[in-house]
Amino acid sequence: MIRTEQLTKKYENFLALDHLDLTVGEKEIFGYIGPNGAGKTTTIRILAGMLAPTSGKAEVGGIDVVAHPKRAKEVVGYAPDAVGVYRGMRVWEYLDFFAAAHRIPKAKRKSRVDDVLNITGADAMRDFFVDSLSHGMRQRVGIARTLVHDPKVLFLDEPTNGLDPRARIEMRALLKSLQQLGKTILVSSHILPELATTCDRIGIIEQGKMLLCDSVEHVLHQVEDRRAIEIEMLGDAQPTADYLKGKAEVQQVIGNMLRVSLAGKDEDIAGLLADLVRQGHQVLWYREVPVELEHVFLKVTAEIKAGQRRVDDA
Amino acid sequence: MLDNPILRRELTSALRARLTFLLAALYLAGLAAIVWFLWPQEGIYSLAAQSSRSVLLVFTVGQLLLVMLYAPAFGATAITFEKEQNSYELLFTTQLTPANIITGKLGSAVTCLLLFVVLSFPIFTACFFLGAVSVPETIVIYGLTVLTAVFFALLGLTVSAARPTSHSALVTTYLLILALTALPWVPFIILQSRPEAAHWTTLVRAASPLAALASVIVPTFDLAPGGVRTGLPASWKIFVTFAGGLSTLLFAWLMVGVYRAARRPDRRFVAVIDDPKLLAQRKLRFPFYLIDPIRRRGHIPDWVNPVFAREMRAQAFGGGIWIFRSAYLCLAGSMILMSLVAGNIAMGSPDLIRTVALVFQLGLVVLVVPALTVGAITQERERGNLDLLRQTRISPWQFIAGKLATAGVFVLFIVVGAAPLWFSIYFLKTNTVPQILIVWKIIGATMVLALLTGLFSSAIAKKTAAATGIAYGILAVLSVATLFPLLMGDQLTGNLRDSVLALNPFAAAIQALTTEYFSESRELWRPHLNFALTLSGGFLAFASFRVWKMLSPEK
Repeated sequence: MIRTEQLTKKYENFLALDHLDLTVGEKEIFGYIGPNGAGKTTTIRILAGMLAPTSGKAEVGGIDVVAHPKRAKEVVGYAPDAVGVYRGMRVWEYLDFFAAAHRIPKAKRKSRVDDVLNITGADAMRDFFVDSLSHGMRQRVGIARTLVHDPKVLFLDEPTNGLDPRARIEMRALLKSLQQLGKTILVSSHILPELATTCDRIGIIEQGKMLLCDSVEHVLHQVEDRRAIEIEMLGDAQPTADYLKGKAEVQQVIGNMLRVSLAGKDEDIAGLLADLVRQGHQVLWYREVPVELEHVFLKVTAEIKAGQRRVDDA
Repeated sequence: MLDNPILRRELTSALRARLTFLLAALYLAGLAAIVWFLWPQEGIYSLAAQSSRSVLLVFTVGQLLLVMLYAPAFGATAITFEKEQNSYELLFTTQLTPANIITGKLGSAVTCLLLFVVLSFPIFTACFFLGAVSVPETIVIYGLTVLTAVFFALLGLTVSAARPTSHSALVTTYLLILALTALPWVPFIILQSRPEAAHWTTLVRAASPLAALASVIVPTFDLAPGGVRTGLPASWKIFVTFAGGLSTLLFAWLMVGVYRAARRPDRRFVAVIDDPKLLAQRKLRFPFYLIDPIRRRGHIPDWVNPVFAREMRAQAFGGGIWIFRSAYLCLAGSMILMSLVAGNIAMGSPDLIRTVALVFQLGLVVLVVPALTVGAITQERERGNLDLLRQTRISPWQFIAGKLATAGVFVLFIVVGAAPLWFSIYFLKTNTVPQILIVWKIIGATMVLALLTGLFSSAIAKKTAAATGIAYGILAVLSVATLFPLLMGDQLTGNLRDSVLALNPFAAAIQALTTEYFSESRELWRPHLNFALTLSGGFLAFASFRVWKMLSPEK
């Protein structure tokens, strides 16, 4: 549904996108991660037909957005990070205007406005003045605006920026429901745990280059090949920690709790626990510590920064 | 005072800005041009010579007009800029008191203006070579210019505290400055044939800074018709009292306004009006209730340009009711003039009455109409809506047509408001219908030019405030600076003089409507129409190109 090939964007001496290859499948939620200035918004703006690339290809829904930016408008809905509003207009009027601007006939427009308000859970804001809305409400209305012409693909640039925890949870649920409606969504965000739970796949971009692009699970394991396990013993954990030396890397011992790290599959973890029990170590419980996306992100971006420094030094 | 962080920040950023440098250069170039063109061709003139005094008069009036043009740029945006950047409320969270905020803002606005005035002094000294001015006169002239600069900067700042956006603050300030400068002259002009009214009309006229300056330079200025003394002090002394008193009041009002804002940051918009009392109050505000957003239910019809529909809802009728007030003002002004004519109260010549009526009508067009389009493009950008529009299927032409059509509706209000005036002109008998039609062609062309000047300014500027300054600057040149040949006597050839006057809508229209004025010039209205429409076409083409570029994918 979304495809870029060797997509490059240069602003005078600054390379914003460097031969970027990206593919997003139909009805997929794709999380786009990167530090500030990495090239996320540039990618999104090119894909939305609002920015011309320096070179490379960009397609959305089979339409070449570089050659046919006007046609791309029919299949793309783009919500920038800051939602612009008009003074003295109610929410329904605001949506009605954008629907009319997309040339949706009046006969269909009323139901369309009601539908998008319903989908985004903004029904209650229908008669509110759009400039009086809170930030979270505006984001919701902003997404409703992107839906008025029923696009197949949504580009959401930092939709959870500045939202409170409740609004973020609601936004996650909204993304899932949009996916169920058949939308393909590319969402950029700094709030990584959210992307981990919402997205089917993620891509990490830094300095205009795609560093990693895969399912969340694969990305986590691709970067972190060792697994961390917390084990709580009945009594002091130090004897167990001593026993495990050589078998696994003991990272931490606190009272009757220890944290070990080992490389391997589920069978290796099961074997280690069975061995402990056989040796008379009384295991109360254990759990695998999930690898966090933030950790992966920091590790991946740190690597490229170190690489960049080496290049600079040379 | 210099410890005031607001003053330091504002001054530093203003003096670093290239725009300030450009404005200073234009200011000095304008004044230098006046002296250059008016400089006597035949040696040094004596103090008694009329030409020497006219150089001085034109220079000081030119300087005053520039101060009037520039004062809103520094004062009227000072507080609205903070509001637009959402930093106004942040100022109240600091240790700064409202008095610090006001003195800081006022200090920087006045300092910038005074810097321009001081820079002009070397040009002014040229007048000494003509023997045209004494030292005491110089002190009074510069004192009056400084007082006017402070007065208008304070006026702009007060408006800035009261208005929500820089655009509306600038327009309001320009209108108020014009009212304070031009309106005091109206009773004097209309009732100049009635000696019994001379005392009061001279007193009212002295409220204008132009009258104050003229009273210093022209010795006979304060005399009533027939050379009779009015018994009043010199006009400039009355002006000093008036401007000083009004400035004090404005300062007090400003302090109260900022103190109130500090305690209760205003939220201008309510979410939903469900209180029956509030609803009833709104209903009672007839006729504004007719255009109240809470009454709107219908979706945009398919045949209506969505940009036009949205402008009418959001920008125009949703955002403000000032256009209704302008129409009221227009109607009231024209009714007063009609009554004066019908009741034979103003005993001036028909030509004088027609000229006053025409200046009123054209003045309104030049002042109000550009304000309708100066924010057409810049406001979309400032509010972050341009990106949203670019995603839609709105074409550049649809965008421009929608904006111009909205402005056109407002222009219609002004036209309807001034209708009684034209009935009275018609009944003065001297004018034939074809003459009135010629004048209406000029007024129509001026409306188009003013609308497109606003649009053009909005296309070249990044901010609405800058666009407003540019638009009014262009129109000031076209409608005031082109009257310059009138002051130059026979220094210009007849052809050149007429060519410059043909650029001026007032000159062209007055010549067409009256028998007395500009009778020595060749026909002005045809070349004026050609010029106005050609320039409008150029502005429209440029604005269309800019909008097309803005709605296309960025490079």
